[in-house]
Amino acid sequence: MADFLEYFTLLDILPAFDLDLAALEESYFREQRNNHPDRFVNKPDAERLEAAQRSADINMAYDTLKDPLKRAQYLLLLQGMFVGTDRDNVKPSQELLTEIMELRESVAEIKHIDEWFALSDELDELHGKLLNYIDAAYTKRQWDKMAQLVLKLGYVQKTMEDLKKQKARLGKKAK
Amino acid sequence: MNLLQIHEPGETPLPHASSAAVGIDLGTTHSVVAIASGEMAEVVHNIHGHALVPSVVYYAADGSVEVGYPAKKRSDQGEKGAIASVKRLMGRGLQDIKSLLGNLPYDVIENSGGGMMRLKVNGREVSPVEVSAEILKYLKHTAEKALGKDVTQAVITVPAYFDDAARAATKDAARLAGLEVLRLINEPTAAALAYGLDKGAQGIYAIFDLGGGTFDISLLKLEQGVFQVLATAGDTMLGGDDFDQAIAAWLLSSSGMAEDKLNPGEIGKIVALAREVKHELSDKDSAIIAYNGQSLTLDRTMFDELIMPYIEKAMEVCEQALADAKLSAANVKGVVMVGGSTRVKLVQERVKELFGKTPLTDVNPDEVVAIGAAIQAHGLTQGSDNLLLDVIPLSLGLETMGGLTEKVIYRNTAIPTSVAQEFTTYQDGQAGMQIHVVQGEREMVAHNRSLARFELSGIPPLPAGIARVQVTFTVDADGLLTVSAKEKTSGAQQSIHVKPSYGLPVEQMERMLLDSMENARKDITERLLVEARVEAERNIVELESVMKKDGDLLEEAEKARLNRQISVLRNAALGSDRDYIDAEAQELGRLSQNFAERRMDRAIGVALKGAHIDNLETKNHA
Repeated sequence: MADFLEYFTLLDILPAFDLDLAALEESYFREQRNNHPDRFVNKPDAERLEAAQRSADINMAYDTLKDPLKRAQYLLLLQGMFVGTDRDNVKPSQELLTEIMELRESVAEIKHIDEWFALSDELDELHGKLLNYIDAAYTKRQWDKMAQLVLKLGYVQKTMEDLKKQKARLGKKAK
Repeated sequence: MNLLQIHEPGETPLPHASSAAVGIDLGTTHSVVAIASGEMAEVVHNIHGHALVPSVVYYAADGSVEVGYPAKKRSDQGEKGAIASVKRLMGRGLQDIKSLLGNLPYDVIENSGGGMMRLKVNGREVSPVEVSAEILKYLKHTAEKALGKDVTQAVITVPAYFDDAARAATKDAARLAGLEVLRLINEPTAAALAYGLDKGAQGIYAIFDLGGGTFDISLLKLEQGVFQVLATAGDTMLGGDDFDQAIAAWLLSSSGMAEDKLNPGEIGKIVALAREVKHELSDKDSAIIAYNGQSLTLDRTMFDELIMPYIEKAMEVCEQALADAKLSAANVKGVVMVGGSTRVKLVQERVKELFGKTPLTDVNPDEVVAIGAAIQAHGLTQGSDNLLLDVIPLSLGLETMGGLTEKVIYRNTAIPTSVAQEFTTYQDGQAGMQIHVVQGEREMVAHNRSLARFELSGIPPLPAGIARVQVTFTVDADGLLTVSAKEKTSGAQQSIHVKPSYGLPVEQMERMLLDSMENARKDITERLLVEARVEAERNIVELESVMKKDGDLLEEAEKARLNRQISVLRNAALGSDRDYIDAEAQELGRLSQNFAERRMDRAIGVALKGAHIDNLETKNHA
């Protein structure tokens, strides 16, 4: 099991929130080419097991870093801040809770497909903005601010999923 | 013998290797073995010239076993003791196959030790693993015959959607058949490997694999030798066999027959007839069926209606895979069709509708999976620039309070993978912890597949919530799970014994291995004897034919000596002493050597003289 400090090292890239995904994937493929169990079929057991563990760690690193939310949570973890885990030590501010509650209410109250599209566009825009704010907070090392933004990103993504489920229901009603 | 060199069809000798690695597609209805040299691979044909071996095993009352076409014939006639589609039973308990019960021409019984069910055939009990092992043994022998060397290692394909129990069962079957599994790879991934290398494909491809009994859809990104699976989904209880059953049910109701009045033999015949009708409707718009003294017509519209529910199920699975991969149908560059059931027109039409592009059918859908497996077997043993990055098809989790599933590894996670989760005690001084590992997407444990249960003991006495138990799930490149646990506060590592719920108990596996080793010795002796006899007879027939043709080259005394040796060899072949047969065959070869040389001289003489134009013309007129 990789210690959680190693993901960027494992993929041989510099820690950042704003990552070039194509370059990340290239690194991932390169590291798997060197470490995947398929390369070690005829090797001694010890060597094989070691490579399998490395390959699993590389998969975990790529899975974490390719996703903006998981990547942001991981960057906070490196600062000792747990966000989006079962032992979170960061609590959402009252302001954030109110904002999210209002957002969820507007999803629940959708009656017409036009409202759905309007809200979907609104959430997409908010999502894009949050990614920019998180990058800015990370660059300025404003950890508390970043933690609140990452919490918000998690809530927004959850709301977007719920909204998607709503569409199927609205579509069926229209028919 | 120096009369003729006879090559088996499909023979591809590899130099400098005493044993070979093959690729095996162990299918529900058919199985195929292929062998690769370099990035070229070809399927191996058996002595009858067939590449597709029906996955049917027949257990005769006298204890002998038949595999392939002879067994299929018996199965089609509904004979007791023939087992078809055993793949559907791999790694399954009696509860899992309730829907199949009643349709099976053999009795299924609960395993006294729990776990996988057993089958009762002609007075004996076998497990699905043993039946699959017979098919694998047959394929191993076929490949060995074609290659002229031992086959000890294989890459075996499994449906991407096979769960842990079915994968483990497949690996057990290979061990019983005397094959070391280099890797279990997913069928769609194997197809993509064969297709991508063949066509130089780049971009995102969907592999739509509809076989006899299983359906898989995989979305892969193909890029400079990397075959990355983005998502996979499927249904292990959906395939062309369902189409056959639907047609058979239609035949029965249309002809006014009641299924419960028929014996298994009659039902077997109707299903075989239904299969023929299905094949006919892949080319034609209607089929006329003579059944039970009546003439029935099944047209495309009616056929489509019969199979529509199954195809719609497959389409839903495709949508799920796209959603999991966060892709839309428009992102998919091409859809590769795999499996014989993709020849059904409605399947092709619905796939075209969903993905908005004509599916690719230019690779043989029956052979592409075995070819991909062979390429991978070659790559694993000889080295390769290709890289297969696959995923786990179903989430893995643990049972928590109230019978709920807590997912530890989510479906479509890249493998190998290793994930640790921490648990704590809920009572003061709690010394043990029950751990129940399940696989599936459902919330309730009861709806998912139970993989293993074990008890973690020896937790130091601590107040509730203080002990920290770390459970680690590790999924290897074959998609197989191992679970380990340790208690972190005491630092003591706890070694745990995982008893698989559906795998074979260790003792049972050992007994089966012993049985199979004894049988293997017997099998090999028998096979060598049969081969010696066949070889002797072939040489005799060949010699007699050339003695008739070029008999004038022989003196009477020579002729008599050869005839004498022919009858000696014939007699030897009647017995079961292989060394004796071989010795007499060698003697015949020695005696006929001079004759062969004279025939060769004559043949060269004729060739040098050349043919007259007159002769050629005469021949043409004749």
